[in-house]
Amino acid sequence: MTEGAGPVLVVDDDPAIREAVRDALEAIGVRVDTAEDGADALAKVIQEEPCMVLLDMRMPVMDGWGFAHAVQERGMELRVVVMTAAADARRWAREIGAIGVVPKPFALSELVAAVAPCN
Amino acid sequence: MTAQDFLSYVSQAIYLALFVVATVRFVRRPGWVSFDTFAFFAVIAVLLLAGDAARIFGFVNHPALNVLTWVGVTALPYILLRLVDDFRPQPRAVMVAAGLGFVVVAAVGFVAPQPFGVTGMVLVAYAAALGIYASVGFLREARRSTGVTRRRMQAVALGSVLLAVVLLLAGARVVLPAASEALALVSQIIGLALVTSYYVGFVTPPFMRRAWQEPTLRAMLAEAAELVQLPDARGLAARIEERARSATGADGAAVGLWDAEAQELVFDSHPVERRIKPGEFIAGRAFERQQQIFSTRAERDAPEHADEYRSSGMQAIAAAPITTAGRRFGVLVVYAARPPLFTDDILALIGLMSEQAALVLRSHELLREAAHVRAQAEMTRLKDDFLSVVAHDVRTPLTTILLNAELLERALDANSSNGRRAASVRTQAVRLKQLVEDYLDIVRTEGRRALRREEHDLVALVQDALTGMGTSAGRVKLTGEPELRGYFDGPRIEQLVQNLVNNALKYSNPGTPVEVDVSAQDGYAVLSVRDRGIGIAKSDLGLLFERFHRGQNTSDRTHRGLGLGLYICRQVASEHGGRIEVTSRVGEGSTFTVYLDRWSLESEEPELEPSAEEAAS
Repeated sequence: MTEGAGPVLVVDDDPAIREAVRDALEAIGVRVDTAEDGADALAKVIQEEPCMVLLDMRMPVMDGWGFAHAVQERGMELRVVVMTAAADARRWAREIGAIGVVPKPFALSELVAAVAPCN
Repeated sequence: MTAQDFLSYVSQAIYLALFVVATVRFVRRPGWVSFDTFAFFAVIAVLLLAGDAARIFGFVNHPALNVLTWVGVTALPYILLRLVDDFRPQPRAVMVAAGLGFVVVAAVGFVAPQPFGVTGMVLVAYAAALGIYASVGFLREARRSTGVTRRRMQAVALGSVLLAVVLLLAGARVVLPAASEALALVSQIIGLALVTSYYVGFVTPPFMRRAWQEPTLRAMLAEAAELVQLPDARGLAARIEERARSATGADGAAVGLWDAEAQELVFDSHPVERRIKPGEFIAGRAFERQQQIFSTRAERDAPEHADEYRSSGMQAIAAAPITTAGRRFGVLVVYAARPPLFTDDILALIGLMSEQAALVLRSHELLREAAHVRAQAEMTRLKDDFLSVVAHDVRTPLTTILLNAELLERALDANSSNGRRAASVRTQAVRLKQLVEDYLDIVRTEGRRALRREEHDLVALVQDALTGMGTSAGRVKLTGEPELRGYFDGPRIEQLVQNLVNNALKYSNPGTPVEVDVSAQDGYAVLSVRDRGIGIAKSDLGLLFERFHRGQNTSDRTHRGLGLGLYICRQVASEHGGRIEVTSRVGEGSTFTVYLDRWSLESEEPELEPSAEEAAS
């Protein structure tokens, strides 16, 4: 996996989570952009070459699997960390070739550790 | 020989044949119905023979012959009425009136030897009326039943109508002498039809019985598939009762279902539920002996229940056990006020129906068992789905609360009142998170799915579990075997590892290591988790693995939980044919050791007692 020079892209359909994560990461000096579903995220990934994608799995329009599949199809290399409240977090992470998991609900320290490569 | 003569000979031959059959039946099985049938055909035979003899020996119009004919013709309709009464009780007044009428009219014959005149007309009208009355009686009987019984009753009813017609024609011949020849021919033809009807009705040939029974049997089989789908055995029994009643033309049928717990047969198709013990009544006897019983007089055959049989008016009872392959479901009882309905083929049919009922009940039972298993599997699946949705939906808002609380806490002065409030929100959110996970654990443990063993590398499972805990597991060191294969339930093992490691982290200082070790010992995989934490008091060790138990020294606010973790660990270990042990010293730390049966083929006989649980040091 290669990292883009862009921001950390936070993909989640819950605006409260998007905002909280943005605040938390910006507080430690990480650049952040957000997307509200897989399709939105895909457009931003092509544009911005993000350093990492924090990816929720269950989302409307295009879910986490759809996003990962589209990224793979385009031959893009991307750091993906799965960020989900589902019990199957790790299995799903393996399925889509993610480099890590942040199971919800997470503490600030876990989030910070997850984005360490982009800090 | 004219055609008329020919017809006459044919019908006479059939009458005589019927007489012979009726005599044989009466001798073989004496009873009112066989006597009345015998008497009926005997009278006809006598009339025929007397007529022929008179013609042959030339004493036509002899007074004695006339009296004999008179009495015979008078007797015929009366006997016919008695036959109707044999099948179904007729009003007493009707029977008495008919009896008296017979005596009076017969007596008139002696007084006025020349019967044809006004008295002759009265006789003809009376006989025809009785014939039609009997016919209506038999028709009513036919409408109550299906199959063979119905056809037979219809044939007898037709015969009785034709008898009335023949009698009326005889009267007409006297009134209209000019048309006598033509009327004689017509009555010969009708007479032949009459004889054929009685032949079919009273002495049904086997091929007809089979043909008429076939639709009943076919309907029984066709209904079976539909019956097994009925929701309960009682509804099914009610349908069997209805079919048994109509197929036999009996007054009623009842299915008693065996209640194995109470050791009673339960009849509840009646207005009130009725329970009887095996051996009681004809039904209980048939069930006890496991054989079909037929009683023509229940009050005589079961004298201890004579009162009940008498008050119900049911004399004839046929009972057959409902049993298949040794499984006793109950008993089928068919009852009637009069026994003649129960011919041999009806009894055979009842036996057949009880066998079919047993098969239907058995199929019904099997279907229900299968449906129950399916429903349970479906329930478990629904519950799992529901739980994962609930878990997801609760965790999502908690994520925001927790994160924002932490951000607030950082932004505020820890000593300010708002800073303390933010800290409180965070600790309570953490607590809520722990409670939610614990509740979910409870519910999952309650409706626990069966263990699903698959081949796994235990070391990889442990690593996965640690990864899943995120950075909090940073100070955990994994030692021991690089790989240990066996058959384990992956998710359950991960749950076990996470619970043990969580405890170790929770009850030890962040600066101290937590060591997880995986090794093999005989057929067992041994997993140990060691911490250098606060340790467990001796008094707590015994109850450590009980539900909702929490140690004495864990009552402070930082260690809140439901006390389910170790209970679940013990469950997982024992499900894997193993056990969990703990050694601990207050102030020095604890070591939890889990033994899991690997189910590995290479492993030798296990030496450890799988039922052993914990050992304290």
